[in-house]
Amino acid sequence: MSETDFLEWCGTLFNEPADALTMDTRREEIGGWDSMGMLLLMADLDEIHGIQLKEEELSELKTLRDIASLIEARAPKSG
Amino acid sequence: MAYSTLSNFSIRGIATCVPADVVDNQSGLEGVDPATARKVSAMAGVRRRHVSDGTVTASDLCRQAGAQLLDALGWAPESVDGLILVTQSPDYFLPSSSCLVHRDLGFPESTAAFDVGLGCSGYPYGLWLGAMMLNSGLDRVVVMHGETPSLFCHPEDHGTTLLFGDAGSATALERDESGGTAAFSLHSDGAGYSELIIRGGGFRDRDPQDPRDRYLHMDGPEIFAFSLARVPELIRETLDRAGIGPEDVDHFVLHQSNQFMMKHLARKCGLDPSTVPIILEEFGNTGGVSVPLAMTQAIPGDRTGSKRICAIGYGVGLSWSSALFDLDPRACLLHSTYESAASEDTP
Repeated sequence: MSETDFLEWCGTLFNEPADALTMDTRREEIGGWDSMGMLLLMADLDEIHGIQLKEEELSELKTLRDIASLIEARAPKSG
Repeated sequence: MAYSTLSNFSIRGIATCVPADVVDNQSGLEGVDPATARKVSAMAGVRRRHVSDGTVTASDLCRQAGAQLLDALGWAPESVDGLILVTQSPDYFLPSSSCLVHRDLGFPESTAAFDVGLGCSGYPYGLWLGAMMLNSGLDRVVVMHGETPSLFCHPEDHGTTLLFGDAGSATALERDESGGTAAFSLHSDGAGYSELIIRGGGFRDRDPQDPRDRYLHMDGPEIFAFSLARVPELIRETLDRAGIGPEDVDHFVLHQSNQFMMKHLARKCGLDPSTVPIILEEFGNTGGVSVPLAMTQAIPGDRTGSKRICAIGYGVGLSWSSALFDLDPRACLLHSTYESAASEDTP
């Protein structure tokens, strides 16, 4: 997923305009990344990328880059 | 591993009872921003909730459900050998709530009555325990499960105030050599004890400095992570051990935790949505009682033939459990709204 696609996805997920987001946008700067936003994120990570977040990993996600890095590291590689 | 199969018993009926007071999440709650109310309600799938006014307890709701059930079955209190009340909303630290119900329903001194302190996973555990008692020689056992989680919530914690409703239930089990085989899978993980907790008021912290510690602390994302990891595994394990597939189950009755979570879990497990009743819109999350409540609401009373039920509980503890059993077409499914009794408990 390109950075643009990733930010678009995050914008949809957290109900924020994608052009207001950067990879370094922090969780506290995104209104929709509250506890419900976290549930939406977890569901998408599970459904789209096959990633199940562990309880201890939740607090480590502080910026959008952290989410991208998680996907890069944990999503099953195709091909 | 706590996996067991038990035969020689049948479920004769299930009754549930909810408080008369109804809160409509859509019409606004005092101190809750309407946009927040709409957002939480939409995600959780909760429109209305039946809630205790603070005077109705879990044992009251169980007592009414139990009275209705015994009456419908024609069971004299003297014929009941065991009474289990699963609750984390007791009337008192002591005595157990089961003893209050024992008194109110006129059970004899020969009835064994005790509480079990489990929440969201409590229904399968209660059924397993009741079935074990029948297999140890008892003839009739009533398993009650009642909770008033709406009273656990701090008024300013809108993640919980908009979610929880209250309910009580009673399930009648009887020794029956022609009964089918039920399978139970029971799990625990105490390392997650703090993900759903009321920290204060117990003997670890009798008088907490922070008044919020007297109320429920729920870490929604952590609970979701737990549920995502454990519930699909539990359903797979339950079906695999029974040698059946999802298509062989008529109703997957999941703990009614949150609509978003339940739908995700059902999709993940490949369950046909029509086999997964969701009753959150009318009742909210009533804790583990949501399992029997979903049964009285969603399983037809005039059904033909036996129905295979997979009941799934998961949450506080952490604890998760399943019960796979056949529900006889003659088993009654009853529901009522609480009517105040003239004589409430006074110690």
